[in-house]
Amino acid sequence: MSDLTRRTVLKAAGATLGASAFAAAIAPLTQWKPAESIDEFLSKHYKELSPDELAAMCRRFEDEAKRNQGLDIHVAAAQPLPGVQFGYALNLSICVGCRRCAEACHQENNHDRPSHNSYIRVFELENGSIDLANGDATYDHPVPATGKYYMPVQCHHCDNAPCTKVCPVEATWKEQDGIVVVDYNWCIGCRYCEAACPYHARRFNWKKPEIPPEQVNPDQGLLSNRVRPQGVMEKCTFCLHRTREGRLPACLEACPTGARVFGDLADPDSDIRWVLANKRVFILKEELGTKPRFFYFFDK
Amino acid sequence: MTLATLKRPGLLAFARQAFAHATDGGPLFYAWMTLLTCVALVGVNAWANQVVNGMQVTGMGDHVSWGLYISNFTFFVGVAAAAVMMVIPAYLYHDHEMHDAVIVGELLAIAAIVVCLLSVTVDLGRPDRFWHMMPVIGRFNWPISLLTWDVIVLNGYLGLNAWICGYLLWSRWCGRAPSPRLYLPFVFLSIVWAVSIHTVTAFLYCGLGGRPFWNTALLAPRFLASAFVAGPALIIVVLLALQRLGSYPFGDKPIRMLVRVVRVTALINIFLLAVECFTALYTGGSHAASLTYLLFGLHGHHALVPWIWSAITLNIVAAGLFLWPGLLRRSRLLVAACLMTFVGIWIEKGMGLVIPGFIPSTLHEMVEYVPSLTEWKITLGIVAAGALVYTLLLKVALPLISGWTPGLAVGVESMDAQHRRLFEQLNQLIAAVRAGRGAAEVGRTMDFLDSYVREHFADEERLLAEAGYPGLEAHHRMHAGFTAELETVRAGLSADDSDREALAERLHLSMRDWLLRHIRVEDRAYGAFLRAREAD
Repeated sequence: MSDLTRRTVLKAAGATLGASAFAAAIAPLTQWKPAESIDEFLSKHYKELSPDELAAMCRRFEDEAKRNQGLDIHVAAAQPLPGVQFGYALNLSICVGCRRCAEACHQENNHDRPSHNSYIRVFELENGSIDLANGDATYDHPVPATGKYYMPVQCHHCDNAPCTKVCPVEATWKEQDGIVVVDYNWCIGCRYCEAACPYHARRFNWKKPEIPPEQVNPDQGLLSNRVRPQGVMEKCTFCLHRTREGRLPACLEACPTGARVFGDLADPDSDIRWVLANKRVFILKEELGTKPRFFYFFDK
Repeated sequence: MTLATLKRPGLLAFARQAFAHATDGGPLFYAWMTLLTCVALVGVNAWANQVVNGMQVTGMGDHVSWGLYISNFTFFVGVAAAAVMMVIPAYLYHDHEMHDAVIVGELLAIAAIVVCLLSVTVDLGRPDRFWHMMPVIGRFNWPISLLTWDVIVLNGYLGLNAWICGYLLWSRWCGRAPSPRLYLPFVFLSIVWAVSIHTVTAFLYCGLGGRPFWNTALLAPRFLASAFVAGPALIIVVLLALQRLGSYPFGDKPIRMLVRVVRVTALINIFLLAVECFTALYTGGSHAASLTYLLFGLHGHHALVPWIWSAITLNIVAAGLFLWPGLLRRSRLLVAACLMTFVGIWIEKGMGLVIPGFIPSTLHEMVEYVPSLTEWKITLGIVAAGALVYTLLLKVALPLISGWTPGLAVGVESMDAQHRRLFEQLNQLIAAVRAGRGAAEVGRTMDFLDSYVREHFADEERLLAEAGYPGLEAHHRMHAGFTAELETVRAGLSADDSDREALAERLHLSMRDWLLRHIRVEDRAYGAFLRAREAD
């Protein structure tokens, strides 16, 4: 065999070996199921969907839940109520740090069970300081502890939201009623928003959320608590599937002390307007200019 | 005399030749490529598993949500930008030798951008939705999101460098002088663009008000300074390696120039870090928390402390070595200094910059980060893929720059074969001189070249006389001029061989470049004459 042919044969053998090694290396991808259906894979951005397409998408999620888990769920695409501007206030004087809000969020929003995820983190702070550097979100003892007070933190639904600005694909935006949402079908999972948020309000689905079928909350919103896919961002939506229908957020309903006040900032007679007008109110990290819609206040 | 039909060298033939160059080599080449392929495949496999099982296989979490991938991305944007440190002297100051060597930097920019794009891609939670970022079919949040700017500048930089390198090599292959109009504007654009890629990447971070560690106007200058340390350091190592492997057709001048660059930028980089440390630490408060964590540890957490002090030590020692004038004469020490500062900056602006931005978290929680095995596999795989791309690009480009190409064919088979041989001989001589081979070996190579040149010129002139070529007289004078130059070089060689670099440069400029021009213009003119006569 001449040198040239031997070289060619060796090259061909090398190329074949390389190609088969490559095929073996990417073989795990055969188990990858990025979307339930081709419809989901090709689905348009939320804002480009017509009301009919939105309804069809809701039905599709319902059908999938029935087919895959035998669950009867209801998915709705609740739209912002005209003229309503949602806001939230929290009374730090009476919050006892029981974390029932965080637990209610966990249940309501179909969070991953093993990681016990929640959109709310409650910080235990020393009386006399509001510096979070002295805070602790992992406390494990009866509450309220002497000399301590408690500060739950969740998405502040900023009017000048750093998270929506940085998103490269417009997968997160502020709705007309002030709620910052994520399109779970559009997010590419770059987590730039998570880096941009000054309030640690965003969560990423590091894996597919696991929830036993009997624990799934069947009352679901397309932009809020429907079970999220793997690899996308999620966040507090002020329970828009509830609040846009006139109900209160789950965290508020769970609060045993009445520390939480939710309402329409555009309505001069609302509770939240009364709080803003009559209490000593502050917002977290005001110096960043994020203009939050989440307010803290003290009674005494 | 055999006249070949002279075809215009086509794109397909170019691709075929490029493929042949890229896949042919010695045992060392095959071993290197096999190693890189294996590492890259381990990375591919780890990534495939990450895609299926989710990002839970990384060490990241909701507190530290970017890790090794984005660190490595940030670092390699700098490496890509550093090509400009060769482009500026080559094109702005018409440094002749740099003009050829600059391709080593430009090709590195291409490979580094490949590393950057791969690093960002593996960081995506949903790579299947990649198309959401494409203009028209997706929703490209430009100009608000800095990430879209980064997509534009990185791909633009890749395109610019691919066009410049591709066009220059294609011209060389065709035996044409490249038309300045078709590449110079892009070269100057690429200079500005190089600065932009790293500035925009810094803006990704420093535009985030919620992360005080990144939220400093000094970030872009720091990124550029460190880029112009790590990038040139890597290019120096590559040039020295090519020299060692004998596939280096350029002189020491580019290396000396790059060492001068690093000498300054290494100090600026350390200075900027010191300025940052002073501002944050002297002011104190929450702005100092991340830096305190990085340098000294905070609340009992100090995962990054050994890393950053290693980086600082490496950078300071390397900067000191670069200041020492004797470094250039000790190539091993030079390589060591380059590698030290390369690693130092990889730590400083990769893990040392990205990770502390998340620690403490925005709500001041202390959660540390350690990259998982999957992340290391994927990252090393990406770097190996970049090295693979770079090796292949160099394998294609270097022979084209220094040797005979089909574009130089005059159409007379015997003459073309001799021309090809001439280039080989001349390159061998240049390599022997550069490598500092003994006078005996250089002398032997020189003798061989000398006799070969005379034989070839005689053959060629005989051919032209037989054909009654009207330009023979002028052609003969040119040949005589070249032979005389060869004689002078030879005389200089025996008289004084202390400055081998000057000699090599002379061989390069007055002999190889002359030969190139002569064949391209005068020899092809007689080729055309012969073919026309044949046709009559």
